[in-house]
Amino acid sequence: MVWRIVKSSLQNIHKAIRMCFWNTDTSIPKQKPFLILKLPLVPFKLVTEFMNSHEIIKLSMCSYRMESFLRVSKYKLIELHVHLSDQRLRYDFAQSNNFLSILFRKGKSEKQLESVTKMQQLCERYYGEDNTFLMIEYFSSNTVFDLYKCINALFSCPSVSWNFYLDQLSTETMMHYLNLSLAEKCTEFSFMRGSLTATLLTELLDRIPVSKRLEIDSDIPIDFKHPNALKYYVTRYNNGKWITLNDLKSIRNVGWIELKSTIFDCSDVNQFLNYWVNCEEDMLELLELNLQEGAIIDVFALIDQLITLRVEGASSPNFFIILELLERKKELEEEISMIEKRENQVDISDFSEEIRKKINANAELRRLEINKNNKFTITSRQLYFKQDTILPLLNYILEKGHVEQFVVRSSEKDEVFSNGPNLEDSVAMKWELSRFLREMKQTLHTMEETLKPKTNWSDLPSELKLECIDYMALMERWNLRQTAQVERDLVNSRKIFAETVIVDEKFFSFTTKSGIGNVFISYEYDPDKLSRTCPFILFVFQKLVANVLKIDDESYCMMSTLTIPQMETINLELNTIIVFHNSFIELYCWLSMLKKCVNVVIVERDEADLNKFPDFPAVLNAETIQYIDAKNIGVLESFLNAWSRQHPKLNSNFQMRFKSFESIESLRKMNSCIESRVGEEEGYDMIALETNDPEKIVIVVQGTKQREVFVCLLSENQELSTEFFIWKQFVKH
Amino acid sequence: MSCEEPTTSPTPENNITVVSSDGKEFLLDLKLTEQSETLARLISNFEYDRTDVKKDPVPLGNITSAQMQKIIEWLQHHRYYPKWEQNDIHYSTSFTFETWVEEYLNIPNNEMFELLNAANYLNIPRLFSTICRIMASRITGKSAEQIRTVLNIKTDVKNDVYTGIPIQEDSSSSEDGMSEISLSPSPPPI
Repeated sequence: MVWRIVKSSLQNIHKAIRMCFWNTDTSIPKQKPFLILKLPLVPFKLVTEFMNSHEIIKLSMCSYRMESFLRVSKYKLIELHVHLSDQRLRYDFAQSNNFLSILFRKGKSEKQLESVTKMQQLCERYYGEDNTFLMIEYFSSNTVFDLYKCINALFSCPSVSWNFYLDQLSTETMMHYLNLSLAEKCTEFSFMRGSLTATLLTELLDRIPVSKRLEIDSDIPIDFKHPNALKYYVTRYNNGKWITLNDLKSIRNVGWIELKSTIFDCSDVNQFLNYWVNCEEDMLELLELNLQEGAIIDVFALIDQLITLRVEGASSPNFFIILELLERKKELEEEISMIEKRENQVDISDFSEEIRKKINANAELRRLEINKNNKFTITSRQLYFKQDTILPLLNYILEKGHVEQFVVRSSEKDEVFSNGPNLEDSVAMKWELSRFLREMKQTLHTMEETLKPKTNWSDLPSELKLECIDYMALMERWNLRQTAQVERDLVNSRKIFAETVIVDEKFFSFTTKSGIGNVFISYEYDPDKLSRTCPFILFVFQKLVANVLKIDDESYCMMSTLTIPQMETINLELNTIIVFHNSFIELYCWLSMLKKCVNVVIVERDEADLNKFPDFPAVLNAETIQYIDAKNIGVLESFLNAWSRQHPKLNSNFQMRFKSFESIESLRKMNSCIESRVGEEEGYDMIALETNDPEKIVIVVQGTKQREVFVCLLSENQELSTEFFIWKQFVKH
Repeated sequence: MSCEEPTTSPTPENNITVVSSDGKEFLLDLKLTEQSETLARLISNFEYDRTDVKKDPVPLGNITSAQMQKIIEWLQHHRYYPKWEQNDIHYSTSFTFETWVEEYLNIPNNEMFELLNAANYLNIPRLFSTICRIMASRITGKSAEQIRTVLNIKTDVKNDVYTGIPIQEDSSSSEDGMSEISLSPSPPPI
């Protein structure tokens, strides 16, 4: 609000100045002068910023003091064009909202100013003005750059161009201008009308740095050559007939080139375009050229061997977008697709070679895509079409190429396509682009996934897969078997090796010798956790080969979760099994899982009172069987009956410790008893039993009043060794 | 263990020529072939270790030149290593490798599989065992889904006839059960 008031006041002041101060127009009534120079600098600047370039110049002509004040402000211009000829000197001032000129012309004044240091000197030479032209009588050519200096001091301008009119300017004057240090501040040189000799043009191109813009409207000799001729960032040649195809191909790192007339036909242009899109180096952003006189645009010849896209709604029906997709890339894509087709029919012996070719092709394709399309820049100069056509185009590019980043920007420097669409200004466009970029990201992700080298684990023969599985730890096997049925069957067929496995009511522990692949599952009386992990435990038991398996399932948790049919199908190969049990059923279940076991240790809990021994062959064939905390001698009798009926290994032994002392005397009643010495020998009782093998006998020995009973299998002539009567420590109480 | 020593260039007397599937010939020192049981047996049967016996090129139809190149690199590196003795892998699985091996086998999975096939064909136990271990190490710590991605395994779990939902035998345990598994606290001693 405050700014509006201030702005309004300033506009009134400005109006007052125009009315009071500049009183040459008699139609403006004379009023009391507005003392603008009395204003402080900031309001002065604010007031004068509302003035156009003519007003600033006229104001500066009023007094040197005024000029000095104005110089401080440095009024901004967008462009400044200086037109140089012997007849007149014209400055074109382009501001944001107007385009005004000041024209110095050769006048009738006899008095020539030798030097101009102040704008005030021009006051008397004011000739008149119309809407766009302010005319001042001409001075000598020596004063031209004095004027330029004075005017330049008032304005700041990023783009200054000098236009030389060769038909009205002598070569000496032109070279004089170019030699001035002011020429260095110029950004563009234009040579209009007339013609240039090869010598003069060579001298000009030698002198003008390639960083400037160059426009030559004048005629150029057909045999002209210069190494810098096509090196300027922006170059416009009215006559480009001296430019050959090789000249065009040599262009590198240039903004844009415009050739109004050339010697090229459609075939030449096509040849150049093919070279351009396949060139690994940056050539140029835009080339605009007219074909040779009389040439008809043959679209097919122009776009031959180029991947193009016709743009709907473009200014010309022959407007094409040439996509920078290399022909090689197309070939590679075709090659990959051919390999993929062949993969279904290929003989296995050629398979790896096909894969290799495909990998190489994919790798090359990726390199091309990264090099060429890593930053695919689309400028409005290139996208000269309606907004609604950009999405199909971008989709097309995405479909065909591997584009990692799009930069969409409008033309920011030149005005050539200033009438074209400004992509950045369109909200709808931005929204569409953001949506598109999101989709593009997803598509790129998918593309990257497909470009990853495909593994062929599935192609490995089963025996090699099994070899690899043998090296896998327990968890890796468990995870692998969940990937597919084939893998599951393979994993299930391999034995699992462990040092110690403990099944407790609180935890399950799997320990390897090396320590790698140890697994510990704690379920802490939680039946849900237990039921979730039971399949894993069953998986371990299916093919377990372990040194020690200890089962201590006091509250039947594991038993009730692992169903008996599942347990029955399992074969364990163990060195030692230690089972704490509550009942015969529990003991039966666990021991029924044994396929092989060297040492069997059974511990009876307080609640249990077994009178029968589980007579599984795997148990009876163990080298050492130990039964701890027995309460009923019936277990021993049951075991001896089963053992003597089997064919146990020689030197196998059974060790039993009663919970409380029980004598083996009752065993004398057994049918198989062939000899008994109970109470006869000092220190121990002994009973001998026959077996199914007439050459083997079972000896049962118990120390006097001792809870331990030792049973061993001997051949008839074998002597009793004391090692049979040493209690083996498998379980620490 | 590193036994790097300067390698000697093979001479006609102490080498054989092997031909890869794509027709490229490789001159192999007999000393190197000792690491390959297939080649060693072949040389022994044909008495190629004798200087007076004419040695025909040995065609290796299952091995490409690129694979052969890689294998020769392995053989050269292990030229002076002691004879390979298979440890009990079931009790000493280890995923640590010497730096050279890690660099040598820092290759895509598909190349690794091809090399595994080649090592199996030529019966080079040290290389075969190392690749198996490397393969096992590549899925260490990965879930079933991640393993599917790494090894490009397509699941073939059957769908329920009525619901169309995939039936997984161990579905109840595969996810929830796994999360219960930890390595600590360690179990008490037996």
